[in-house]
Amino acid sequence: MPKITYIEFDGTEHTVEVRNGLTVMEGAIKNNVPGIDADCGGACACATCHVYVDEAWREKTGSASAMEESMLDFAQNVEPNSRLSCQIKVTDQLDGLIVRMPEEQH
Amino acid sequence: MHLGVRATRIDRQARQVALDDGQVLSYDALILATGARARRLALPGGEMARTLELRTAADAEMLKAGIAPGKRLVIVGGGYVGLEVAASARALGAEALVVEREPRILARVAHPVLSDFFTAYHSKNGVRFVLDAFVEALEGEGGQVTAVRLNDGTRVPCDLVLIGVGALPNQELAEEAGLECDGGVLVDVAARTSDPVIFAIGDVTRRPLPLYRRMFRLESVPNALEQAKQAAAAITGHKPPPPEVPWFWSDQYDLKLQIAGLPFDIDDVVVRGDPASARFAVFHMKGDAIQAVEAINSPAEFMGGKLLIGAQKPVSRERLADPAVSMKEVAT
Repeated sequence: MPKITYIEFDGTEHTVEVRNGLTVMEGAIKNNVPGIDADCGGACACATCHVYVDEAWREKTGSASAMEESMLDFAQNVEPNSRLSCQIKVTDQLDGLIVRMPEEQH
Repeated sequence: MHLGVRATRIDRQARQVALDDGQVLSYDALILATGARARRLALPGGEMARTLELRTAADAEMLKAGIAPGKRLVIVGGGYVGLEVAASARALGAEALVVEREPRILARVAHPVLSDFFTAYHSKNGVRFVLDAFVEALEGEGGQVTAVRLNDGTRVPCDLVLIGVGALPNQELAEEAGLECDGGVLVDVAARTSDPVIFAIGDVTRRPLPLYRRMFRLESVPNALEQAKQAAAAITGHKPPPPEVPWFWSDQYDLKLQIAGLPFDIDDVVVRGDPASARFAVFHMKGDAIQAVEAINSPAEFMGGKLLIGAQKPVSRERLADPAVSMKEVAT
């Protein structure tokens, strides 16, 4: 199973195994990783699963859809590597992925 | 965790909860999260098999098992539950007929612009509607529903009936314990009931909405999460979460409806975008302040609207109505 490292705003690291086909958001929620709220459960409806994708992984995680871009536009502290983690599907290609969490999701 | 047991009684004096397997649990703080149940219609024949409701995962499994290409589904109630099921049924090749008592669908919860839009979109996708009508009885054979009879006598043959006519709070446990209830367990902004060590969260509560200066019962996922945060903060002595703008969503076909706020005390609406393009938003206005927004395939309108509602910031109606002015610009 691909391993994903989630780094909280305070630097705390969580490396967990996430099954292929789940989203990066679901990987955090199912493993009790704090820092991702995911209020809408993955419908791209709330922008509370905001993460910063590590530079080395930006290409492999692809780019945001127009819908995701619009949602991110109104999130706090958005950077060029900001993504909604519910929109990133886990595959073998993402084994080793590193994402960082913002200070807050609201 | 105690699974498969029911809480039958709260003893507030002793601070104990009795379970139906005989156990008694003591508490320092108690949270009621008993939810809501589907409102039932006292219909002749309503006890027959293949008459379903949609509240639980088990309900969803049964519904899914009953929907297949060519199956005829009658949906009682043109609310969000009914419409989402209609969209899913069509996607799976089943026939769907929606019976709604009001002259328009979503009458209780959405603006007529939205009702008209959803009626047209569903009709285009093959859903049929009977408005201003109600089901008088269910007919069947061998305990299985085979038709519904409408109030004008029309008989509609079907294989499956889904009743989606609202929900009632499961407040009996709280009532029996003497907690204040009024169409939901009454709570404050910290999700506290009339007993300071008992909290209630989610669909079962009637709660203050500070932005709208009233009490209301919200049935939504974001509300349940929000009140969970309020209760957890109060119990653990943490800073309460900031007052939130209630929000909702509904996915039907390729449509994403996002709603922020509630349309209380509104004077009129501003429509931004063209409903014919399936990309538009209805802003509910109180003077120059946005009270609520219903956004179809318009995430920026939803997000920008939500911010503006929370800030209670006046906006220019002309700019709001003009899709050429971005929501970012409207919001600043």
